[in-house]
Amino acid sequence: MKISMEEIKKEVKTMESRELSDQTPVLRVEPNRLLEEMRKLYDLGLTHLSTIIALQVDNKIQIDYPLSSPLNKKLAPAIFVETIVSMDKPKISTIEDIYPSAVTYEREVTDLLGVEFIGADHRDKLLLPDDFPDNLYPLRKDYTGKELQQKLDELGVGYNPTIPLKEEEDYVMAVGPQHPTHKEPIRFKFTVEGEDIKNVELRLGFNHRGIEKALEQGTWIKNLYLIERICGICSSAHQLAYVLTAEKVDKILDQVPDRAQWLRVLVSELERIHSHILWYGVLAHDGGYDYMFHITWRDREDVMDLLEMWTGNRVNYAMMTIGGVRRDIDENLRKKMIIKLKKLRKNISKHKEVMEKEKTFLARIKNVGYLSKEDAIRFGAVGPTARASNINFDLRKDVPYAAYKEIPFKVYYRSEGDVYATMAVRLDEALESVEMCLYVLENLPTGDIAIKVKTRLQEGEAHTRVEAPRGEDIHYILSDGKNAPYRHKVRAPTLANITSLMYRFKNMQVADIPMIIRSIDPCIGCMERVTFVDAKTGKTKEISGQELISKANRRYRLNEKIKIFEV
Amino acid sequence: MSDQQLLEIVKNALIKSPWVSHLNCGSCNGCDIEILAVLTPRYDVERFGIKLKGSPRHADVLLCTGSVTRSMAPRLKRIYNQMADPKFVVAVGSCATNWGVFHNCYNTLGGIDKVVPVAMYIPGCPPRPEAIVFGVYKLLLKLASLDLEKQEEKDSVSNLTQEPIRSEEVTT
Repeated sequence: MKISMEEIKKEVKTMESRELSDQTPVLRVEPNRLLEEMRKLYDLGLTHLSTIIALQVDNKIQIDYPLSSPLNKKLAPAIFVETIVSMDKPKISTIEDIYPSAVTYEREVTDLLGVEFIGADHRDKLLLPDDFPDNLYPLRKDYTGKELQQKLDELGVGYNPTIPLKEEEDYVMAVGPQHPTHKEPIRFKFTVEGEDIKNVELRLGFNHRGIEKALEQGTWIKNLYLIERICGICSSAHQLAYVLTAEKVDKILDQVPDRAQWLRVLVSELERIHSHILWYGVLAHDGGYDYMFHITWRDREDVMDLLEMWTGNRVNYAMMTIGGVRRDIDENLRKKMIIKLKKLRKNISKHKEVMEKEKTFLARIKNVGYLSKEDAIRFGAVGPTARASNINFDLRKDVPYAAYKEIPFKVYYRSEGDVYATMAVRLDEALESVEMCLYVLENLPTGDIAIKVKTRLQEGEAHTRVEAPRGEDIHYILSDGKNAPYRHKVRAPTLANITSLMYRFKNMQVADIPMIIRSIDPCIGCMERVTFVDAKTGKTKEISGQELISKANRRYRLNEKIKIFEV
Repeated sequence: MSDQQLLEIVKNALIKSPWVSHLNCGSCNGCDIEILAVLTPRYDVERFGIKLKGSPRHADVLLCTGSVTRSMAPRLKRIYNQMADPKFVVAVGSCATNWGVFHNCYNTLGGIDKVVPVAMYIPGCPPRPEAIVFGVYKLLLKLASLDLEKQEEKDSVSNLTQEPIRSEEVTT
């Protein structure tokens, strides 16, 4: 039985209900009833928790839980569950039993706003540095960004080379292995028994810059360029989510010209092509198939050329602006793009043919890192990761934004659920994106590319979810009518996939670690060094990501056993 | 063999085939994928003998990106200390050079040279692969005119709070 939004609203006991500027229903519940209502909503089919948005309003902290359903199309648009707690020792019960993916989001809220989650295990810092002062919460309104910076400088956070490095694992650190895409710092701690993985722990935050706080100090226009630099690979996805949200807040979304919306789709799809080629190229590299890596990256330069011809930059295109796009396409460029895209289609088809048939490579990725459909739903997997586990959900189709409603395309999903499936899905998607680009270029509506917008937006709040190359990317803005947002919350797709990634390691072997981590296309990097803990003796040992990859390759090529601990 | 001859050999090895290591200190990834593009068939820096190495212990040059987050600063310092002398740091990108777009972010320190001495700055957001190739080439030119005997004392920057050494001082 597929239940609709109206029936959901009747089921929940709300204190009051209101709507965001974009007509998203908000159900406010009492803090002590939160757990009960969330359980009810989960049972009704709202199984996907996008993120947890927390913000300080006067002397209270408001916490929002955007929920949606990947299976019931009627419930695909998000619904917000809201609760308010006091600033003085804020406490709320954890929902990790219902939504396992909430753990990372809750730890983030604890770090940045100091909300304690009752019933959760003792949790270390996730995002902030270890020597960050304990009772200082960056996203509270006590300090502006500048003041916070001065205070931290006075305290010497990060400057002191002998900071209290916690335990031995703090030696584990990101050092560049051979290829920079899996270069961003993230730390995994694996517990192993022989070659089998028993447990894995995670520490993020080496790349935490404090962008959300900085956005509150910028202006609506300045923020366009900061938003873009959240991530260099999915820069236009973040920018698109931001401008759509800002337009919803300002209630001008319906005035944005058609041509602008179509051009937004074009830049998003070109970005998706370059991101997917990048990904499967690096997957081939990690699997010891370097020849394919170089072939794919050679062909990727074509799409980089396309982007450069149009936008003037290879990365960080600065194409979106509130009210439209910034650069138009003329007839000459349009023809050139069509020729290049056809060449690209031919090349990607070749990659697909080789990568789906090459036996030695398939041996590395088939039946590795299995994630079932049920688990993908339970752990809140998004994007190609979810689609590889047989979930037919794509925000471009199910909650259309920009001009996706008018452009025909197919959503690819597979039932295997292993690393191979994530690759096959992305290969198909890259090809489909080429078709979409060609369709956009051949059917581009005429007209303006942008409207004039005031430098101050109206009061209001809104959220947008867009399908970034790696999955669902959610932005939430609360505007109080000034020239900067009061609160801007961003959740990038990789954070949503981390929970399911941890689960994928279950029953896998050490040699499979590089491929499994690669499977979600981690945007905050791959492991550089990993720590292994012997389950019997409790001994620890660290090895670098590069070393691990070469060991894993030898394991499969020469059937040489991996020895982490000498027996 | 005299010390002078040994230094000559070291210098030759350095110019003919510098090995680089890459470190992300809180960058947006833009510079990192461009560094990767530099290694792939179109730009292919391996023809200059430049090779990307996994471990900083094997590297002569450290390519750093990002405006150095507070979590990464001690690690950057540690990695710099792990490298064998003579060693050189290249700051790739605007935020590695001088904070760039992240100047309002509380958790960043504002550039690689706040933590370790930098030999070469490559600006751009992100720098084009050609710019990175050119930057590395300029570094090789600088290495050719290097007096290695003087280098050692200048590299012994042991305290993070010490004034960073600018590129001119390091290499002349």
